[in-house]
Amino acid sequence: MSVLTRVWNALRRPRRTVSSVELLQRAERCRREGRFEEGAALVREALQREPRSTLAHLLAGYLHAALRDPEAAAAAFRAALALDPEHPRATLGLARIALDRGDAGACRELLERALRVYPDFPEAHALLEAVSVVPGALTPAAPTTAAPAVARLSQVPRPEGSRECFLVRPDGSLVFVHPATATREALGAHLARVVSLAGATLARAGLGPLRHAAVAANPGTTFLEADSRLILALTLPPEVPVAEGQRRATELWKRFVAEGAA
Amino acid sequence: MTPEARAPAAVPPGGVPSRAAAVRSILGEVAKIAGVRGGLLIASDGFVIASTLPAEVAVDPLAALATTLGRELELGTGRLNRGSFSSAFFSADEGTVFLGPSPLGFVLVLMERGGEVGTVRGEFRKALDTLHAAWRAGDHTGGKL
Repeated sequence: MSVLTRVWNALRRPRRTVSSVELLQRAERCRREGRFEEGAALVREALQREPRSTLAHLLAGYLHAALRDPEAAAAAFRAALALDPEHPRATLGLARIALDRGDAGACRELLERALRVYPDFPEAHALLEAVSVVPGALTPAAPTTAAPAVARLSQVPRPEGSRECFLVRPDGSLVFVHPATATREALGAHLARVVSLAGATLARAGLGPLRHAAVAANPGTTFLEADSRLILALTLPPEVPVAEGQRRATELWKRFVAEGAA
Repeated sequence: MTPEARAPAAVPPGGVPSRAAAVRSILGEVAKIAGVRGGLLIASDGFVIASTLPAEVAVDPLAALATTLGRELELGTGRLNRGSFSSAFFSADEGTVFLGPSPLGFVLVLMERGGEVGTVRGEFRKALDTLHAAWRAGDHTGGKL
């Protein structure tokens, strides 16, 4: 066969189109490699060809969640559930988003639904264990500490450089706060959720209950002390070394406990 | 997910490591620090991209919880005007969990009891910085992965 004939035959051969299954396989590979934008583009292409693909909607949900776009992720999970109302992974996806939004009740309900369909679902079990003790974000418990106790706690000297000091109960209710900011109740609920989720993570790793923690953010490092009754959060400037910050938080914790904070 | 997808990727023979391989090798390096049992690279949806944790640790439930915790730290600090969360550790009697944000989601490192929290925290934060730098070195669409 001459070269010209071979070229002619190659040009006449119809170009092979990529199937939607192949597009989804490529998108899944992208997801595994952290190429989320590229994966999302492939899923969009697959959905144009096959809009009723549950797998494509599910994968779209995962990729949007990985890209930290909860609105788009929720829409994709809902689309998957419209096609397969009992899909456990799409239900789990929505449950995670509900928790991100601070709706622990909706999260719990969705996890229970997923577990009714698929009882052997390790991620759903782990999240349900954690969420059963997580206080809701939007409904922090009312402060319950008596005024004389608060007055005593406010007399306890706080470490030099302290920016914020919170003493909260595991349900998020405030025991003592300094300074009293407008967001104190929301912050108390956030601290309680962090401690509860951290406790569940440590337990799942087989390490035991949470004792101390440190969370570094731009304005400073927040040192945490916790037991089953109380959580102390002390924010110190970022330049304070971690061992020193932890020492100051532990000392303050002991003083609060001695003043009857528990 | 297959174990292959979770193993830290090696440098291709005779080639330059891809960004994904670089990111995974950072996790492999952290796992070599004294007292560290291993780590996870997790996407924000809880998907485990790479793991160097011992086989006896059930990674999927641990990743689900770590991602939820990471999201709470990320969203909570943002919502409450507490800046952006850069790293955290949580200590129990039997060990410590380190958690930090990454361009891919979150990185978790597990340290056993007796490990030096300050040392591992320093190395962990360096690893997070390296990870962000490795990510920036590629194009933002992930095309060079």
